[in-house]
Amino acid sequence: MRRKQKFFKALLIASFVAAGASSCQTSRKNKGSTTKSVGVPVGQFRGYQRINALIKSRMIEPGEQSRGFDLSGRFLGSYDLALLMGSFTDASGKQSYVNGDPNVVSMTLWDTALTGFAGMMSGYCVDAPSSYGLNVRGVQAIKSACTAWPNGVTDAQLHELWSWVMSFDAPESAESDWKAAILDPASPIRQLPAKDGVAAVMRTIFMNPWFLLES
Amino acid sequence: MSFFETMSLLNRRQVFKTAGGMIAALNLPRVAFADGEPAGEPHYFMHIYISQGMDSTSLFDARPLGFTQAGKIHNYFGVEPTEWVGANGHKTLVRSTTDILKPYKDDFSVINGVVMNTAFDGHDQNALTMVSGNPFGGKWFLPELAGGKTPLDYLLFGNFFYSGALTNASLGLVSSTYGISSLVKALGNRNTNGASEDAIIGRGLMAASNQGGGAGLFSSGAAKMSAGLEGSKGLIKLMKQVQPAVGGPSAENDTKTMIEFLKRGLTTQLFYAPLFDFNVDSHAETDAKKIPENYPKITQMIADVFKTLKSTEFSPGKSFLDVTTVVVSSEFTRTMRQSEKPIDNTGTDHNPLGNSVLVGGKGVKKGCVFGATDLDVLTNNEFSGVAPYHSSLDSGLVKMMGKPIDFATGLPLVGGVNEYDPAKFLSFSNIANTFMDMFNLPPESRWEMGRNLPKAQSLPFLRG
Repeated sequence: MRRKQKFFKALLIASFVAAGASSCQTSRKNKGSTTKSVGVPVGQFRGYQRINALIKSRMIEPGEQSRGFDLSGRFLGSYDLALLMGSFTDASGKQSYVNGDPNVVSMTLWDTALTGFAGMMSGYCVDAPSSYGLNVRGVQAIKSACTAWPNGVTDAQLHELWSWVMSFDAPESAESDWKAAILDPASPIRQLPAKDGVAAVMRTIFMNPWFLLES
Repeated sequence: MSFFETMSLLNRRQVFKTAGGMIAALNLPRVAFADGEPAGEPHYFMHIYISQGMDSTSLFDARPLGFTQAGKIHNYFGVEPTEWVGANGHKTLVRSTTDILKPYKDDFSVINGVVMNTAFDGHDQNALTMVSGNPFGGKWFLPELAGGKTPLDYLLFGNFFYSGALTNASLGLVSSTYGISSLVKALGNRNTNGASEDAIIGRGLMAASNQGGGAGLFSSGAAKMSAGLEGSKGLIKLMKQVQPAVGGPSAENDTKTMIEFLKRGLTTQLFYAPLFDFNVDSHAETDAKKIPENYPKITQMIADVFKTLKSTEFSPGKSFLDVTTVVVSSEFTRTMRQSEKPIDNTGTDHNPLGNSVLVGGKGVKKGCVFGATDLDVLTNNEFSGVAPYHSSLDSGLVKMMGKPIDFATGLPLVGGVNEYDPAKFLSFSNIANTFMDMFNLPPESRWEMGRNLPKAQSLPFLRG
């Protein structure tokens, strides 16, 4: 019986390792390649369209997904700016990916848009839901963190917020490092009221390179 | 000399190059950005772009009514064009559409007969030739003029569909008066809790940039994120000071908003590409017939930009037009007719062989007319004196083409050239290179006359 338990435990660990390898590391097939199949070079922004799609599929209520989710239009006021955030274009009749290298302008735009989005999400702390309906998982995760903020917030609650946004895109070390920074009793972020604190938490996830960059 | 004085003498790229490490790069740009333009009078540049190919024969390069009666060129105006005489004595025939610009005649010069391209006649290839000297895209000359001295290399106001094909089009803003208003508002509403959040974000970026010894592309991307985020503080500070013009989109309001970017030291380079409520790309005869009704909207827009630049004070006794070089161009002009259609019911196609360009403002000789196009003489209702090179490039004789010019005076040469040699014709490369001279760009920046050809010469006659 004990040998059987050991076997299943080993199998479980092996499957987690395999899952981690497939999501976080360059596959053997792609080794040496700097470009993923979507055409975005490693180390550049995943791109405006892709981040929008990720947010929609991971964080927005299925019934709301058919409504256009547009970070730039909603939080920057102009869709024109999306071109500067890493974007596909068909200028000159050929598809190309442009402005993917992070710089002062693109970081200003990403940070402003995602800060706006994070602020809107924290509205759930005070029962002011966003105009874009977040999915049930997200609403529960935010409300739970708000209620416990700051001293009662747990590792598990933070994990839920992180994995809701990040899915399996980041290595465990990135998550652990982030949680340690949030849970650090000396962190000034913990002095903030719940609504601001949770907005800050969400912004720090969004602005993590494992979310914004092609890995 | 203090550290801050030293930094203000370095341009942004020098700052990054000399930073020598990520930590240094994180902190230095903010110093340069906050200080804005170094001491001394700035030199601004504004490119007004009319997209889709504007017909120069309906503006500054018209033909007499007799040419229409001979079936050579459409004339939906129904009247003779008038003369526009330059301060240099050179003349051109113009349409009534240019009347709106007469009050500003001494503020700009007309350059006719500008060859955009002899190999391609698509919108994108000619638009890219106009901004980068390469029909397939390359380095946009306008951000190069900025010299990396301001937070933004340029402000693109309006719609330039082809900017994605330009390799250096990233460090600028693409927007409109409405978009800028929204962005300034969004920046004003930003509610972050400063250092504490930034420290956590910075910790994640630092870990990622050190991953694998910091040698990988992902690590490099994380380091660029760090530098960009740090630099954004200076940019946001300046952007929050911008006061967009109040009211709906108009050339006047757009120009006022663009001037705000100059005033705040955010950029020195403006690209203005307004959209019109009619089809400039007048292949259809219905669109061509509306030119007399529609083109005054284009010239009114240009007049409004000049008016706004001229009426906005830069310093006592000086307007923004005194410190801004202005160029107005479309990617090409249009054919005189479509061969298969009757002359009174024809549209117009693309003609990259003989464009018109307006130049004005700082550093430019104003009030003059330079260059000219051919197909300007009729004998027994047929074009006469057509050069062999023209027939080889346009066998149907529907495209007016730039005449060879005297590069000392900017005036057309009479005869003597039988083969097309780009060194003898005026092209947009000559004009762009002249701007690069004005902004003291290094010689290697200059555009070539064509693929694998020598650099195009600058135009001394244009400097004033």
